[in-house]
Amino acid sequence: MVNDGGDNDFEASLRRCWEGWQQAMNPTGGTASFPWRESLERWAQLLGTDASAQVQELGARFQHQAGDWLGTMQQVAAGFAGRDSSAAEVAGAWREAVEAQGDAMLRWMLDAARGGSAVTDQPWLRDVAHAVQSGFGHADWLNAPVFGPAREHQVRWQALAKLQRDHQLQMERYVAAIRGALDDAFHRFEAKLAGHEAPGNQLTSARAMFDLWIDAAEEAYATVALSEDFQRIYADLANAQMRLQAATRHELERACELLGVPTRTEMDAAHRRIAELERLVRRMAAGSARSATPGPEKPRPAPKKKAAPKPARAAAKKAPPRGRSKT
Amino acid sequence: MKGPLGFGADDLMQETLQWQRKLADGLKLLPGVADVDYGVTERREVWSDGKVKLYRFVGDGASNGQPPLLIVYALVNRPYMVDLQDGRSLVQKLLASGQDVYVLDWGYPDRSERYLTLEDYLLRYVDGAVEHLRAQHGGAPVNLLGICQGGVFSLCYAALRPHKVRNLVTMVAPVDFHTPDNMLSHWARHVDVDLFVDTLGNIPADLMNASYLMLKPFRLNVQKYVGLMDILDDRQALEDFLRMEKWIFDSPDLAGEAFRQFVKQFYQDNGLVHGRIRIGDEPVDLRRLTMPLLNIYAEQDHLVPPAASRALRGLVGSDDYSELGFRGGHIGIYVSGRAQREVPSAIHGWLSARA
Repeated sequence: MVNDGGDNDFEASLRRCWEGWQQAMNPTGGTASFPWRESLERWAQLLGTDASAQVQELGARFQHQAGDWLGTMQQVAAGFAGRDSSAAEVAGAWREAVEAQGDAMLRWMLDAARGGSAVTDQPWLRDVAHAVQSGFGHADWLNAPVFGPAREHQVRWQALAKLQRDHQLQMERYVAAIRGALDDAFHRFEAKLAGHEAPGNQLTSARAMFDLWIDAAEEAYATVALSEDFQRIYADLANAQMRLQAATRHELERACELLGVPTRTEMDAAHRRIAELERLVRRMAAGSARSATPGPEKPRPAPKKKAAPKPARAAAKKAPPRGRSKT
Repeated sequence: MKGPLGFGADDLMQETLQWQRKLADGLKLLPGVADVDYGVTERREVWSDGKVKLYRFVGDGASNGQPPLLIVYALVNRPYMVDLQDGRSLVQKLLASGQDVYVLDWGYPDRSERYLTLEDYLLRYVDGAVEHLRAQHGGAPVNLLGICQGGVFSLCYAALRPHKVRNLVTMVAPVDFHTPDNMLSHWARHVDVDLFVDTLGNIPADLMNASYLMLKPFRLNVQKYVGLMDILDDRQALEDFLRMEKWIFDSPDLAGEAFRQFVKQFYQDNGLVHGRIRIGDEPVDLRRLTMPLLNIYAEQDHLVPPAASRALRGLVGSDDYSELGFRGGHIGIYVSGRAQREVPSAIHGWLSARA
């Protein structure tokens, strides 16, 4: 459990948060911002000291999403609380607040596009690719003719650099599509807000604004994600990632071979043989069981309505059970 | 106030105060929430082949004498979803009604299993488990309950070995992979799956999970975790949340060759609808599904749209085909209160009428 010190610490943090909030809401408070994120950050820190790993991870996710999205929405809501507004004004303020944070709030979407922790999409590799693409400040190295004893190596490295470049291009297309969905989401959000302008139908909390935004964002995203264009963009990105990853692994395997280290390809070849042999044995066993039993296996006719089909006892005797029985 | 926002500064402050109270409550409660456990029903391993194991669930009451009910689950998640916790267990309810329930556990494939094919999964593992059960029950055919991808497997297996399946139940099983609202299939259409598998070998679970989360990115990555604030003061709800999180992300890697075949034949070629599926050397003909068939789908399923499941109706040879639409989603069909009330009893009632 959190100790007393932790409790007190968090209460003090909440007090500071509350004071900041009151200052932000005070008409004379100027441009003070609501310290919701700081409050959540402190909360997650305190949680981290005592909780299980699973709870800590959950706390981190909560801190990230509730801090970024809900916190920003609350900030926007505070700007309009208690005064007349229009859907366009609110949606515009929301767009401004989101866009002001750059890619930070969409980090998780971009990570997902990269397949989590893709080894071929490390920042240093992107830097190298940019350097390569610019020809290390000289001519277009990627397309330079190659010759000499290291020719074959250089050809491979050029190909690898081109794959990296292509991957970057496909990633940029993907990100542009996501940005397009986000742009549409702001329009949809405005339209949804307009639907709440009638008296009696107004939104009554920042959380309700947030939920409305989620609806708008999902609708916009689904429209893009189900489009023919996105289908191609998605596949092109996946294929570019795989080509790059395959080429990178090939280089690694070459290095391993030089050092006498067994490679993935060698291991795979052995595993393939084992799987094929097991399959062959199973087929032979099934075939021999079938040949030992007279008559072909016949599918049962369609049963009459509600009539229970008869058990196929004879067929059950044909093939011996495989595997290890525990009963 | 005119405009879409009907709250004042005081309302917003009250809302904030409420959030802060929840945070404070959560700070007291969360550290005391231990790693959650799952699987409420005692089970015994009765057969195995490599990592694949067949478990029999042990109930308090006597079996009603019906054929054993074998649950075949998807490869992409762990099968304990059918027995998640007390009061949220399809297995518990089926046992209570007298069914003799078994589940096939695929385990966690490693790189040595990269070359397992659909033939291995269906004609080695499913068939091995079925044969074990038949041997224990005088050679009689079994009842099969296939869930999600396991439903697809069950359809194929029952079509290949119809004499071994007495009644077939499918739950949230895709059949038509090309319905317009199937986002996953839409994305997979032009992916070079040969390149994909040749590069990755087994398909990492993290990659699959990232894809699933991107089906509804704002709801599943943002809103869900913001919603956590609503339950920060409720230990039971927190434990339920954590248990579900564990299940969602406790995903095995997928055997590469089986993945290749599944994506090509089902997602890209829509082979069940076109009658072009082959498992090993054997063609799958759904018209050979002449046994009684119950097809359960979820009406708000974002992973397997209802139309994708309902396409089965026109493809099978059985004249005893029933459908059950469940008012809920792909996950809710296992664990929601409504599911607990409706789904197990529907399965039991349907099976009993055909016992």
